[in-house]
Amino acid sequence: MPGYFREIAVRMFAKEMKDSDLIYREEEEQYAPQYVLTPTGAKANRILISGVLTEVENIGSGTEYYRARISDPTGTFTVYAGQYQAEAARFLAEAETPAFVTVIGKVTAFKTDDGNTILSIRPEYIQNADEKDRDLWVAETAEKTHERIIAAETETNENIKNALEHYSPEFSEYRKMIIQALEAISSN
Amino acid sequence: MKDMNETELADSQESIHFKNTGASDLFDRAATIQKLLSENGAEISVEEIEAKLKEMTEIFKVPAAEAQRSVTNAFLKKYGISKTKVFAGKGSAVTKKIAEINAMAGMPDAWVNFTGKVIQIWDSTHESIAQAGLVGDETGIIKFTIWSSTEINPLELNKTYDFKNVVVKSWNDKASITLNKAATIAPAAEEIVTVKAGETILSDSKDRTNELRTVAELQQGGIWTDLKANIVQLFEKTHESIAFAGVLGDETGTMRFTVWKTSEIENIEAGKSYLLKNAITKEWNGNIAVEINRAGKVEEIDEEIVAKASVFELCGCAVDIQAGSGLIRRCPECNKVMTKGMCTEHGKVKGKYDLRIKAVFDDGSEAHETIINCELTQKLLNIELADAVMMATETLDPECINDIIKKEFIGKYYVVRGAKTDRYIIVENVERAEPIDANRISQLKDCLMEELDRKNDAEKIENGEIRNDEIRVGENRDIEKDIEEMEELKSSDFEEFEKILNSIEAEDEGIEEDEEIEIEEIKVI
Ligand SMILES: [Zn+2]
Repeated sequence: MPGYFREIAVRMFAKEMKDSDLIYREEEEQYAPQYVLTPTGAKANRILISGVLTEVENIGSGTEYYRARISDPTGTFTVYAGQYQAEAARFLAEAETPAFVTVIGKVTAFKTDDGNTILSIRPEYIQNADEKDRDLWVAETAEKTHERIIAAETETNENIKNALEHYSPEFSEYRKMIIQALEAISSN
Repeated sequence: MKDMNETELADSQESIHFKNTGASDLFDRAATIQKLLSENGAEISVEEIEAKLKEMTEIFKVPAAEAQRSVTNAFLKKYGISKTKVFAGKGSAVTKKIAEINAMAGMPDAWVNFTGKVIQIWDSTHESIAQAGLVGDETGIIKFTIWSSTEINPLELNKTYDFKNVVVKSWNDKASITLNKAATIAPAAEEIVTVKAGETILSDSKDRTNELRTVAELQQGGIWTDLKANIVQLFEKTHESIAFAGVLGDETGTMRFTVWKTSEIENIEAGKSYLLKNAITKEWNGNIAVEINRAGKVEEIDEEIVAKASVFELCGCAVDIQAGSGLIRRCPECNKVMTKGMCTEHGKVKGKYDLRIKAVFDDGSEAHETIINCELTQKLLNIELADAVMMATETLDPECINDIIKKEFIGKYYVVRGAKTDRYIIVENVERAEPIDANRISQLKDCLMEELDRKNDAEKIENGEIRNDEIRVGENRDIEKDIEEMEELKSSDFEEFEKILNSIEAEDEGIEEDEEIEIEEIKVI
C-alpha cells in the first residue's frame, strides 16, 4: 500500500523513558513526526504501555486538563490529556485508582526552564486492562528491550550509533531493570 | 521537593501492593539461609531472615536471588563466620558411581566426581546452557547440564570423561548433574563400553523410515513422520537455537513447524515445497506442530504442494479500531461499502447493513491491519446485526457500535489468524492471548543473569581482581568464586530451571521419560 505507514507502538519501560532526552524530527518541517531515541536505541513516536494507574489530577485552570501517573515495575509514566484527547480525559475524570490500564499514545517532550527534557505521553487510547494483559506487556517489553540491548552491543546502525554517542548507556543497568520487571510478574 | 518525595513514597507503596511477591518463595529462601546459619552455630529465626529478604525485594526491589545472596553474606559477616569455612565442606567431592548419584535424589546439593560416557546431547533452547544431555556408566544414566559460563569444551557423543567437582542437584526426587565453573572434565583413561539402559536409546535416526502422512493425519504429538508441504510463512524472529520456524501446509490443512539448528538445515524458503523426513509432531496448548531436529532432513521437491489456505498468524495488542468499523452499509448492486449514503459507482442507493471490525494489532515489530467479518464480529461482541441496527436507530448514532468495539478490544492481547492480502489480514480466527508463560519469563531472566555474570567476570579479569585461569583450574580455584557460583545456582528458581530442561528434553529424539524407564526395567528383569 503506497503512501501508507503506521508508526509501531514501541515497548519500553518507565525507567528507560525517564532516562531518554534525545528528541528529533527526521525532517525540518513543523509537522514532521517527532521521535525520541532511547538509550537502548529504540526510536519511538508511538508507544504502548500497560501498568497501574496510581494518581489522577485535574491540573487545568478553567478547562479540564488531566495528569495521570502510571506505574510499571521500573518506574512511572506521566500521561497528560486535555480537550484534544476528549475520550482519554473523560476516562481519567471518572477513573478510580489504583487500576490496571493500558495506554496507546504519542511521546511528547517538554523542556524545563533549567534545560531538562521531560517526556510524557499524549494518549490516543486509555482503557482499563486486566492483570493478564499487564503481564503480557511486561514480558513483551522485557523481550523487546533485551533484543535492543543485544543489537546495540553487536550491531551498528544510525540509531544505535546516535544512542551510544548521546547516552553512553550502562547496559548492565538496563539488564537489571528487565530482571526487576520480570520478577514483579513472575512472583505471583 | 517535599511533594516529590511523598509521591515517590506513595508510588513505592502502590507497587508493593501490586507486586504480589510470592511469600512462599521468600520463605523458602529464608529457610535455606536459616539452615546454613544454624549449621554454623548462629541461631536466627526464619521470620527475621524473611523480613530482611522482604525489605530487600519489596522496598529496594532487589531480585530475590540477589537478596538471598546479600542477606546470607550479611549474616555471615555479622556473626564472624568465614565464608570459606562455611562452603569448604561442600567443595570436597567424593567419587561415586552413577547409580549412587541417582540414589542421592531428595538430598541437599552435594559435590561428586564420577566417570561417565555421554550417551545423548540435547538441543539447547537457551544460550545460558552450553550443553545438556545424558551420561551413563555400567550402573545407570543421569541428566547433565553445562552452563555457558563454564568455558568447558563441548562434550562429544559416545566419549567417556572424568567429571570432577560437579554438583548433584535434586528435583522431584530425581537427581541430575550440574557443571559450574568449579567443574573440570577430562577424557577418561578407560572407555566405558556398556552403559546400563543407555545403548538402546542412542542411535541417531536420520535413516529411519516413516510413513508419509498429510497435515490432517497429524492430529497428535509424538508421531514420527514424513510430510510433503509448502512453506506458507516464515517467522522473522525466532530463538537462537532455531534455524527456521513458521507455518507450512498441504491440501489438507496448515500447521506450525520448527526446524532446530541441530538439524544443520541451512535453506528453507517461503512459498517453496519440501519433503520433510523424520519430522516429529509436538503438542503445544492443544495445537499440533511439526519439528525437525538432529534426526530430520528437509529436501526441496519439484512437485508443487498447494496449502489449503494462506494462513498468517500473529500475537499482538489491539492498538486501534479504524474508520469504517462497526455498522456499515453496502451497495446492493456491487457490495462496495457506501460513504454518506452513496456508492462510488452506483450513486445514491438503499444500502444493506453489515457489521465488521477493522482492527490494528501491533506486535511491537509491525502494526498489522485486519478485517473481521460480520459473523466473527457478531460472535466477538455478542451482538446480532439486527440488534446493532436497532441500537444505531435508537441512539441516532451509527458510531455507538464503534465505542463498544473499542471498549472491547483496545489494549488487549489477541492471537489472530487469517489470510494475508496486500494490506489487510482477512481474519479467520481471533482469540484472547493465553496468559503469560512462566517458562518464557524464567528463560529470559536466566539469560539476563548469565549476561550480567559474564560481564562481571570480564570486568574482574580486566581489573586484575581474579586471574582468568583461577576460574577453571580445579586446585587453585578461588573458593569464594565457587561459593558465589553455587549460590547463584541454588537461588535460580529450581522449578523454572527444571522446566527449561524439560523443554530441552522435549526436543530430544522423541524419547520420553517413561520410555527410558521402560528400557531400564526390562534390563533389570
Ligand atoms: Zn455500487
